[in-house]
Amino acid sequence: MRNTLKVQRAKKNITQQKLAELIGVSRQTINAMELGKYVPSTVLALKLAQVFEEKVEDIFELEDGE
Amino acid sequence: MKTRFLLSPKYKKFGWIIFIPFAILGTIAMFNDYEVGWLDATVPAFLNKNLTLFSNGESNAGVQLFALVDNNLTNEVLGIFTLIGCVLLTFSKEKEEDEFIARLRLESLLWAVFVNSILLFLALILFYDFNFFYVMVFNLYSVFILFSVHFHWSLLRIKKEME
Repeated sequence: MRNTLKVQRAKKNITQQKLAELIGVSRQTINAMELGKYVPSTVLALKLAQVFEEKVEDIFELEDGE
Repeated sequence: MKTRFLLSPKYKKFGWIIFIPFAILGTIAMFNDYEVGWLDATVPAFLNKNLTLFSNGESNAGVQLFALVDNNLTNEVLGIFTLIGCVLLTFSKEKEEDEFIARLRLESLLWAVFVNSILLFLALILFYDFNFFYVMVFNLYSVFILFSVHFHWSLLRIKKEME
């Protein structure tokens, strides 16, 4: 799964730490998601969408063959 | 994040403080058959088998379901505190426990049980007679130890990667 977290974060101009605080997770989790090492739960994906004021589909996208 | 079975993060340091000295003392006491004199006590025991009677070829005459036995409590005390230390340090939450940490926890637990099985397999074919007793005692705590090592190592590696 691909995601645009880094881009979204840049658009809103917030740090990993700030984003982590906004959705109530650790900074490690944000980092792992941005590196594609961790696929978040639906709840977390929805929270991210809320913060970025985007649709979940605009942040997360299935890769070919998934 | 709501978590079942996990304790407050503040217990982790007590876990280390209890585990390290008692595990070391326990190991030393086990290999040296060391007993603290004033810990002699008469204690209730479940399933007491009088080995001298049994080895004489008598039937089950020496087996009692409940009995009061004389015992030195050194190994019991050391064993219980080592276990308490293990439980506190493996069941304490991280300061920021979330779903990613929960996945690391699960991975570490699976790894620990798997590696423990390999170690036990090796021990079964490499240790014989009374030496296997030491394996059994170590095996009481090995899953906790393997889990803790893997989990904390994973956390450390992730934190390093971020810097």
